[in-house]
Amino acid sequence: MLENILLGIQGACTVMNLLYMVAGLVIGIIFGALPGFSATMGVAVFVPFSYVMEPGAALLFLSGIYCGGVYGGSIPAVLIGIPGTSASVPTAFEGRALVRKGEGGHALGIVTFASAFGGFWSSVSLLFFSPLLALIALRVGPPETMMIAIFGLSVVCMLSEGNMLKGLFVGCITLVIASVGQDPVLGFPRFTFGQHELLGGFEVVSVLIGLFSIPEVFKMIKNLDDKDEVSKIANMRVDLKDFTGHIGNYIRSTIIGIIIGVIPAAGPDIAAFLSYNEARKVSKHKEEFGNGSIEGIIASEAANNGVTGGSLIPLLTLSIPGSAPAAIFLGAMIIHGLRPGPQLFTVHAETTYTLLIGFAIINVLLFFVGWIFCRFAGKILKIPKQILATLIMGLCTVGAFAISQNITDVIVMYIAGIFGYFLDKYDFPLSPIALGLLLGPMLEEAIMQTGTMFRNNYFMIFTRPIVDVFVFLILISFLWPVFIKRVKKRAEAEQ
Amino acid sequence: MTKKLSGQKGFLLIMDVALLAFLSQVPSIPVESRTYPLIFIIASLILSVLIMFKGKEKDQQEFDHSSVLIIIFAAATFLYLMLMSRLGYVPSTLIYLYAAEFILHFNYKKPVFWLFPAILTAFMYFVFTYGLSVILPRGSWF
Repeated sequence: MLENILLGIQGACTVMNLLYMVAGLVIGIIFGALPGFSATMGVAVFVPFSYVMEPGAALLFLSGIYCGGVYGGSIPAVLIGIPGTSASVPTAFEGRALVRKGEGGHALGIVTFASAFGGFWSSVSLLFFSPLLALIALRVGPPETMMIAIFGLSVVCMLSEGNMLKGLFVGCITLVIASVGQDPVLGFPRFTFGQHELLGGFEVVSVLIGLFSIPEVFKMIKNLDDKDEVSKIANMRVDLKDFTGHIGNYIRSTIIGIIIGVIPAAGPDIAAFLSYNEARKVSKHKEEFGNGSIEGIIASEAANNGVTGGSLIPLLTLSIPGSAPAAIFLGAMIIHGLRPGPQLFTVHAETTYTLLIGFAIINVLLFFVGWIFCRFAGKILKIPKQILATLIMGLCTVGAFAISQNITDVIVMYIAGIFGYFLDKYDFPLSPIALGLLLGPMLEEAIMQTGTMFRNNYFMIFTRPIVDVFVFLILISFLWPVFIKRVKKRAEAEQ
Repeated sequence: MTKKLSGQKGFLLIMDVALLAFLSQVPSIPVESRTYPLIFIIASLILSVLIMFKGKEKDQQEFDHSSVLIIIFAAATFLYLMLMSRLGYVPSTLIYLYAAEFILHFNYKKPVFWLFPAILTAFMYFVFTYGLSVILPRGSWF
């Protein structure tokens, strides 16, 4: 193995390959930062460009786009409160609040560091633990997927603390909205009201763009004359204390990201929410969450970038593309004559280890490229609000249209935006919408498949160890806050 | 004396009407496909009633000049959407971006006022059409 690693270092560290990695990162960050664009779209658009490259270089270039895309979404999330991708939604909750406090630079620094950290250790796990982690992917079936979705949805309760009824209402209504279109098993059209455009349901990305962008634009218009707004990102420095003080959070979030990445069908968005929720549960400063919490940003970023390496594990070892970018990766690998599976690590060891080592280098480079990018992106705060609001609307419109080249998606985006504005106005939390839309279809499909598997005897799911682990985690996530509250009350009473 | 309906209650009533519209479609869906959404429709309706009677209500903000601006801006945006399918992406976006700047009182004596919409529209058009092979709306009037 050591020999293969040295071969990989030799292959990845050529000047051309390093340039391809940087180019991929820059393209990926731009794709991630634009609302409506995603890492998947970036990788898909640039696959044809990789035909002319050497296999190793092509995979490194596409990996750069993938990692850059996941990271890039967090830059607008911090600066203007609009997540470039759904994986950056938790970052948007905290980032914008930190910008208002004049700590935008620090927030961007933490985003960049946490992303590079999560991504780097994810690539290390890809390098050393692929065969072991692939076993988890093999054991995940519909019952496990169902429990993951339920565990994810339990986050709604945590995110709505103090406003539980409204949070649950938004969560339930989103699950209804997520069921519009053909049902996942019979394919029967539901709630389409005769509109064939709704057969495929609502485009999640369009809804999320509208939901988080348009209320921000309206807020900008509302505060057009506000002279106290912060127009500088300030210092981006990340101290040693920012790392040592949150080391547990970094490690926990990265592990969550890697495991979610390994599981087929779960992506960086789910990892970010789960990790954000776990960070909130164990935090000593819960009150800071939603008001500019550095812990929240670390959790979200380390986890969503932790997914990148994890999602390639089932692809490289078992030939199972667990996510959309991984599926495009599979296509690119086949074009270059590489067929994923156990043989990949022996017959094509040079190219494979070039990719694995390169993946780690990409995440180190991500830190520097991201740092430079944030410096430029910070200038966005100097743009007059009238221009910024117009720019956001222009970008959102074209971004929503580009998803499936359909004007209906643009209309859906605007309606979601207005809906989001009123939800925000009447103090309803927005985060359950993102969770409901992402997890709703996954939950329904898993419930139906599990029912078929066990002939509707749902108790049979408890015979599966991973399900039991998730049941335990769900119980802990509900009971832990109650337990902590009691302990605190008792301590206060004793004092 | 009649009590004025609060904004939140009005919003919840609109949501309930939408949920009832969904509920009216349920009988036409096969049993296997309707159980899952039906559970959440009923849960949403129950929660909405609970919020109406128990939920905390945020203090109402005054309807001021900025609220008028938001309504005009939103109306301009809907007009833009309607125009896009008729005029096509480039002319409708140009008109919308100039109109948006004007509505938001951006100083039209500044060169940015005139340059920004033209540059943004042209940039988007070329990036999407030639870079990403996305065919932007062409318009039915041309």
